[in-house]
Amino acid sequence: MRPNLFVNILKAIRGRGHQDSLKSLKRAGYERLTVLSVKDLDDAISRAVDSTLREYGLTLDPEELRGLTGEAQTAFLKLVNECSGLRELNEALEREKKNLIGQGALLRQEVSKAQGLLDVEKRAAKSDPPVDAGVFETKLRDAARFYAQEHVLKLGDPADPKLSSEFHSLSAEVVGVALSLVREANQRVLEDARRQQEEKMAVLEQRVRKLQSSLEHTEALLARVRTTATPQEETGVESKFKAVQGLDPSDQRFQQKKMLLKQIFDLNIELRRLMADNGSGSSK
Amino acid sequence: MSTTETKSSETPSPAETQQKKGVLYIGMDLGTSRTAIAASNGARETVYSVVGYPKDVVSMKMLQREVLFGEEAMRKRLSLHYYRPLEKGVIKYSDDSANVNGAEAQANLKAAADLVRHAIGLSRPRKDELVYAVIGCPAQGSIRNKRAIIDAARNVVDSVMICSEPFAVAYGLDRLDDVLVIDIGAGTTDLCRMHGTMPEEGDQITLPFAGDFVDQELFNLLKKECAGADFTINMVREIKERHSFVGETTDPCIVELPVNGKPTEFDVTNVVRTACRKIIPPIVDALGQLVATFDPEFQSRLKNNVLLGGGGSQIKGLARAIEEVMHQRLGEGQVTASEEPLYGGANGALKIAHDMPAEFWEQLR
Repeated sequence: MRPNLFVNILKAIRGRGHQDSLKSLKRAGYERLTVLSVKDLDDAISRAVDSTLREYGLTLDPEELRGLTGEAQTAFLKLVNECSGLRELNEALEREKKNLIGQGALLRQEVSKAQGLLDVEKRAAKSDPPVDAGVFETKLRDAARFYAQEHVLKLGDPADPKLSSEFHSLSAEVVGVALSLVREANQRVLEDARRQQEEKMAVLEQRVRKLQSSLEHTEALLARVRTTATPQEETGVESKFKAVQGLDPSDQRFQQKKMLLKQIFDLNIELRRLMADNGSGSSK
Repeated sequence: MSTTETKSSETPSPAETQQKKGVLYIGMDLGTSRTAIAASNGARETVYSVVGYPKDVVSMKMLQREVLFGEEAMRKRLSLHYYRPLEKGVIKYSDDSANVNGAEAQANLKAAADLVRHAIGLSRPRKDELVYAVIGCPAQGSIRNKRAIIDAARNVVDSVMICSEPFAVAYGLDRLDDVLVIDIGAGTTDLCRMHGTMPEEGDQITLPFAGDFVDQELFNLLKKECAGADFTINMVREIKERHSFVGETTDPCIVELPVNGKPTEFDVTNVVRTACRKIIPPIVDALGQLVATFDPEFQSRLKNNVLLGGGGSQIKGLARAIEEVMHQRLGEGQVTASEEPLYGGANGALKIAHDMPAEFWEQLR
């Protein structure tokens, strides 16, 4: 076995374990331990590699096999490094995914807000009441006639038919001119208002389009990240227990501990009952 | 070296055989200052019991998280709504009926719940395993307090139980008879008398003289001794954690504190010792009370079996100092400091979880 692989495996094992004293292991109930020496580990790994190679039908002499074992081990180390690199990449992708999800949510909010503003503007445009031209003209005629009559009164006798007919034609002309001026002004104002509103709506529509484009882009990135990420391994660290344990019957204090555990359990049952009586919280 | 399991197992529950491929046990010590977990997959973690939520959209974008915990929350607390949800071992305001529905009470409840979930997550449970957790909390906690803890945990584990924290420490060390556990935390110091059965109310005393008390005493003394120096309670806590002691020392405690913005050295040896020694008299008083009310036939055994644990037990020389005062006031005493002060409660809770029969777990699901 090559020295560097040997050292790395030892490091990996030591790194995963934690120190524990014999005293505390004994207190935890461990009476017997299986001891594996470093040389045993070395042999075990070599045997594992050798037997795996034999399963693939490789019939090599011991000398060749030793060399091949070494190559296989180097290839294995390389795969381990790649796997470690992939794991780091996976973690980076996960972080990126979370980031994108957050950005996507914010963008959706912005789009919704902009769309809302746009809808308000559209509704406002539709509901603006048109100027009632008929009523306006009637009012204008009446006002013109009133002021013209006042002016004519200053010139002479209103009963004078010549004065009266001049008054009528004068007031008709004045009304006509005033009306056309007002119509022009009204038209201009309406056009300006419509133009401004259209510009506003155009800006809002452009903003909505840009936000939607950003959102689609972010969602596309997110989809790519999701598919690119390595298949989700079962995350988490496996427990050393495959089944529920319970007290060891050979424990010296078995009866005492059994009683204590029952008391803890009873207290928790009572607690749940009190919680239920008080209107307990959530269930799982 | 490797170990193999030599335990016989109870009858597996129906749930685990049908759906789950293993059982993860978690023991948790939910402390005022720190929360510790120990799990049967080897996970052992501590996290400062602080929780922070981004104040606004800007800080959310910067932090890229909806909630932060522990040291990270402490570092970035200026941009967070910052909570230390536990006080004297219980969730803040959880016992205050006058403020039960207040916004602050609700916020602390949520922070505590998030902390519990985060701590459980630190053990990295697998989705295909049953997760059974035991959480140690002070015996004095109210129903509301315990309910908040259980409700938080139930969302992320399959079954959860609560037990007395000092009891968990004793159980973890297999010291169940005639032993007196002193668990010095940040908010409280809990003394618990073990006599082979579940401790009752009269077997436990909770004192407010603990880590936070020492911090405040040290703060006050430093204000007097270090004229002109600027410092916060957090800085004082760091000084304590680095230099705390109660006996004699050959190494002076030299710290740097800013004076008008300029780092200035101060010798705080005596100040630190004085502040740390302040918790000894109330502890020995409470100890004496528990001894005096114990069966006289076993009082000597109790005095000579005092177990010191919790973060506060890391004060150098504290066990010896308590012993000396016990000798003066009670005639005798032997104090042993826990080998793993930070994990004593969590280890004990883990052991309880491990030993609990399957049917008990099933009934509490």
